[in-house]
This record gives sequence, structure tokens and C-alpha cells, in this order.
Amino acid sequence: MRKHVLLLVHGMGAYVTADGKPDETWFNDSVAALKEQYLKYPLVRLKSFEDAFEIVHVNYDTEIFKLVNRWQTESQAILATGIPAAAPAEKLVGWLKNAAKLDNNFAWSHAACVILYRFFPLMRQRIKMAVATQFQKALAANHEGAVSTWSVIAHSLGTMVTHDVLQALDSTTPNEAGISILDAMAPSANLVAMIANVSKILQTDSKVYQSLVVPQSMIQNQSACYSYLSARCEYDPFMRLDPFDPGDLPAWNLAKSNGSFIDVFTHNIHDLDPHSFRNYIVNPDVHIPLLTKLVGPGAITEQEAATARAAFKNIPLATVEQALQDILKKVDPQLAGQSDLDAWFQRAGFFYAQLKQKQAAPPAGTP
Amino acid sequence: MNKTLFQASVALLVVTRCSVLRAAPPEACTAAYQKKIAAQTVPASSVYVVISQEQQSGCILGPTDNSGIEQMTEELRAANTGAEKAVLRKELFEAVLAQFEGYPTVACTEDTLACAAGRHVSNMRNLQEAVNAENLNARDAKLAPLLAAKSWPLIPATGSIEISKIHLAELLTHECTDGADGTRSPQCIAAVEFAAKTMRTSEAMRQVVDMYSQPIIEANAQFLTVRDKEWNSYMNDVSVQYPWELWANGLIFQKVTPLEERAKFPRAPSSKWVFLHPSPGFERVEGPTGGHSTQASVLIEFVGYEKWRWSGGAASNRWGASLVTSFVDATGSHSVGYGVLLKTPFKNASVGAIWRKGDRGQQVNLMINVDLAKLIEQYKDVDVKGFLGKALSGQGVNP
Repeated sequence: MRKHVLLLVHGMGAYVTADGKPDETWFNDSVAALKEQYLKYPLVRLKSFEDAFEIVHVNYDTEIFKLVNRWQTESQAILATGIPAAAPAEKLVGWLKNAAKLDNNFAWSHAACVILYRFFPLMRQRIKMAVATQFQKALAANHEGAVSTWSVIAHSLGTMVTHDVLQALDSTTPNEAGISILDAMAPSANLVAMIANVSKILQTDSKVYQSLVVPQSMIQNQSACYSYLSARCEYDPFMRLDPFDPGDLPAWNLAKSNGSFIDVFTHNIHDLDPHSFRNYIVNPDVHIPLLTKLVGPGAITEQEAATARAAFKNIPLATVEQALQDILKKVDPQLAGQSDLDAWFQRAGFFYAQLKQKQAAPPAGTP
Repeated sequence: MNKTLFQASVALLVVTRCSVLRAAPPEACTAAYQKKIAAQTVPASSVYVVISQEQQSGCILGPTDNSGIEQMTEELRAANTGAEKAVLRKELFEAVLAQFEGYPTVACTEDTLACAAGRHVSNMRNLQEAVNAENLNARDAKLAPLLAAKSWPLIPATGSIEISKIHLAELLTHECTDGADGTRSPQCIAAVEFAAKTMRTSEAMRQVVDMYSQPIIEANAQFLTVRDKEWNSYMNDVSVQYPWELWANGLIFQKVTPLEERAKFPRAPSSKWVFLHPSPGFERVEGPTGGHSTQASVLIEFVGYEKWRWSGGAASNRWGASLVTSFVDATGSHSVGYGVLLKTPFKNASVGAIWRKGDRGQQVNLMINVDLAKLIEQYKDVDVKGFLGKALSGQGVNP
């Protein structure tokens, strides 16, 4: 019997090594952060984390790297000719000469992936295909049998990518039987966990509130998942503009009322980057429903949940909070009066620039 | 749940199991119940989690499962011939149905253990009939639920099995509620055993459905593979598009591809426009004395168009043309020339003619352009960069 297949999808940032291979650092850190919470609860850890899950790292940054690396190679080759008359060509491509550099390169390492996905439909389709293929391989039967249970945890930009891939997998029917790729291959996802959910503000061809990525219910039979967790943090700069909030739309409303849609709004800062996966997962308001959906109803008792929440609130975080407030004070005024999407991208730039400065000289006591 | 009805059904169940069906295999999860649940170390609402965690690593299709169902499923999956499959399938269905020997078989709609067992057994028998009859038309409204991947597995998030409408989490919470004297209610063990059998057999049915869905799954996988190759080829094999080209071709793609198709897995474009595209190349330039040398050049394609065919995920028969300007730094020639470039399917190479003024009048020069990035990737173990660097540094490669 197969284990519960758990797909992890990364967010914006660099997730490749200098030679373009997938970088496992974020995945390993995120799995460690999840396991840390998993081990806190006695009924959850009845089965070891390793026995419970078959973890699959889904990486699309390799595709982005391939593209920007080609831009960089071409650009550098043109610049290397040193032909004075070729100045117009150098002007066209000079700005691409460091596109694939990973160090100290916010514009390319963080902003490019979001911009390429949101505003470049051809790249979006390439990423969708690459991710869908990884999903398909992970969910295909192997020598241990067919997958019976699977879930996906996506972070940041990964929430948008995951949404688009699930929508496509559950609506594409390339066979005579008329069964969608997803329905033929595996059951709907047990849980779609969207951590730092930016799928609304970045939505493109498929509208996130009307898509098939909604918990199955009496009024939504065709669906890609059984439960959906959306998490956003008050201090996450990317969550302030057009956050995921389907409001009173019938399918979502019903899902919320029957507990299959969990909309979590947190207020903690446990990491200098409040957008980080860890900052979300350490919060019991996020990991308790997440683990309960992964393991099953009753996995964490009410008393355990109350104890965890009480203990969490008692962690002193004044230093980190102050550091972050300093960042946001500089970021927010620069965004006044701008349209949502423009402001979102600018916020990303300002935030990471300020964060980088802070991280270069962390205040005393910062964890 | 109707408690009175449930108690009646459990009583019936206990009587029938004790008196009629002694041949039913002993339930391996009874031991797990005694060890982990009977002593009330967990609240009733968590009994489901305790028993469901036995899956794969305990008494449900794990090392302590004595039903043999896991092994039978593996053998069926590994079977090669139709005859072999038929025999193994028969054994498997006998084993899963034997799990419920003694349970009521009426598929009633109530949310009771008895009715749930009846529904589950009925569904398994229906699947058996469909598979035996090789009637696997998933478009058949009656068969579709039986053959759907999502019908059979236990869904952890809900604690339920869709096809049989069994809500195990609710059932176990209800039946394992502490008795008035602080002991576990007597129905709890029956509910736990039922849950274990249901999880075990549901998983086996899921595996059967998957095996018989393989033709559809393989067709879908093939579709994804080809689409993935096409998009990979479009982005990485066909010559690189700079950001403004990618954006402009993206706009065209959005315009010509219907929204509904874009939200699925559309085919990669089979053509593209080229705009203001710089690239390195080589030009055969005439010198002041009339001799020729091959000089490094930089091209800008003002506008161009390429078209190809998709074949098995690869772009074939790719042709195109562009209007270009070419920059060189060669004695006796004007540094800027204009011409046309013909793109060929051979190694992404292009050839062209460049009109350029020189000391000896108008020249018409041969131009060769290669996909440098692709070439470097293709020959990364060869010192192509060094070779090209020499040429690009202005040292002409004399014939």
C-alpha cells in the first residue's frame, strides 16, 4: 500500500543551484518545519512521519532558470564581441547579462519568476506543463501500487501554479472515456494547503473562485480536492492586497460551513521574513487544521490544540516584530495610491530589499 | 445517526457473526483495539485516527495484517496473462467479501453500521460483476462510480469512503463514546473491526480499479508527455526568445487560443514572430585588397517569422526568415549592413545575405548565424566557448 503522497510546491525565489539543478534547501527546511509540528502531537505521531508520507519536491524554478540562463548566455556573447557599432544590440540585451546569477540578485531571483508566470503566458504554460508532469509522475502507480491518498502543500507563487495545474488536470479529458486526467489517475487531493495564498491576486486564465480547485460538496461534485486550507498572515506584505477570500460564493460557503474550507488569518511573526513557510507552519492556527486534514479528524484533541495555542502565544518575539515593523514602515508609504497588482510587485521589491539589509545586520536577539 | 436503529443492527450483527459465520477470518485489528483503544487512552473522537494509522504500517494492509489481501493485490498487479488475472482476481474478491461474512447485506440508506456494511458489500459485488464481465465503460452512468479512482479510498480529511457513503470518523466517534461506568462502550470493538475491514477492502478495490483503468491512465500520461515535450522544445530547443518577443508572442498566443483551452493544457505554438532579436554570427567580409575573411558579427533581426510542425513532441521542418542588420568591425567595410536571414531546420542554424558598403563598393556577404546558447549547452564538454571566444574577440578565422 502506498503512503500518503505529499507534494510540496515552492514559491518565489531561487530554487536552483548555480548549474540549474533543483536546489533542495527549501524543501528540506519545509519538511523539517512540518515534521517538527507533526512530532508535537501524540496521536498524530502514532505513525512515524517517514512511514506516513511519501514526500515529493515539485520544482518549476528549473524551467525559469533555463530561460534566463539562455538570455544571459546570449547577452554575454553579444557583449563579448566588442564590436563598437553593435552598441544598439548591446543596449537591447545588456541588462540580461546577469539574469541567471543567484547571489545578491533580487530582481531576477524573486521578481522574475512572479513576473514571468503572471505576464508571460507562454512561460506560464511551460511551467504548468512541467509541474503537471511532476504531479503525474508522483501520482502514477508504482511497484507499491496505486496512490490512494495525496495532498499538496504550496507556498506563495506555488499556490498560483498549483491552482492552475490542478484546474488543468481536472478539466482536461484527452481520452475517449471523457474522464479528466486527474480523475483517472488518482482520487481528488485529500488536502490542498495554500500557504501565503497569492492565487487570487495573480490569477490569470482560470478564476480561482470559480474553478474546480474547491472542496467537493453536494453542490460541487467535480472537484480537485476534498479540503482546502488557505493561510495568510497579517504581517506578510504580500497578503495585504487582494487576499484569497471567496466570501459567500455558494460552493465555498458550503465548504466553509462543513469544515472542508479552512481560511486561516494569522497574526504572528516568528521569522524575520513573515512570508516564509516556517512563519506560517509554526502557528498552531495553521498546522493544527493542516495536520488534522492530513491525518484525520480527531488527530489533535481539543485540549492539545488549546495547549498548543496557549504555548504559542507565550513566545516572546518583540525583537523580530520590531524589526519587521521597521521594514513595513519603509515599504508601506511608497505604495500609497497605486493599483493593486503594481503595488504588489513593488511591495515585493521594497520588502526584500529592506529585508536583505536587515538580515545583513540582524538585531540582537533575532532568532 | 439513529441510535436505536444502530443498537439493533449491532445486536443483529453480533448474533449473526457468532452463530452463522465462524469461517470469517479473525480480525487482526482486534489486537490493536485491545492495545490502543480499549483502555480509553484516547478519546472517542480520536479512535478513528488510531485505527486509520494502522493502514500500511499495522493491521490494515501492514505487517500484522493476516488477511492476505495485500499480497493478493500485489500478485494481481503483477499478473501477465488474462487467465492468470482472472484466477487471482477471483481469489481477491473472495477474500474481500469474506471480510464481511456475517455482516448484513442489505444496502439500506441509513447511517448505521449494518446499512453501511450492506452498501459496501453490494458495491464490491457490483465491481466484481463489472470486472468479470469486462464491462468497463466508464461512460455508463451505473458503472462510472464503481470505476472512479476517487470512489474507493478512505479520505483522511473527511474520514469517509465515498462510494459506500461510510463516514468512519463519525461512526467510530459515536460507537466508542465512553460508557456511563467509564468503560469503552461494547459497540466500540465491533465498530473498530468494521472500520478496519472497510479500510482494508476499500484499498483493495481502489487497486483493482486502478489496474483496470490503466489504458485510460496511459493515454492521459502519453498526452501529458507529448505536450510537455512540445512546450520544452518551444522554450528550450527552438531559438531563444528575448523578453519582449516572449511577451509579444504570448499576446498572440492569448488571442488565438480560447480561454477555456488556455486553462487546460493547450498545445505549444507552431510558429513565432521575431522582433528586435540580437544574436552573434559570422559574416564572410571582403577586405580592402579584395580578399575575404570570416568575421564575428552581431545581428539584429528587425522582424521575422518562423514556422514548424510538431511531431512526437519535437519541432520538425522548421523554417523562417528575417530582415536583419549586421554589425562588424572589419577594415575596408562599413560597420553596418542590411540583409535577409533564412532559418533552417539544421541545428537551428541560419544563413543569409548581407548588403554592405565597403572600400571597393557594394558587397554582398554570406552570413551564418547559430543558436549559441543551444550550441554551448549541446557541446558543453567541448571548449566551444573558447573556440567561439577567439572568433568573437575580433580575430578573423581565415579560410
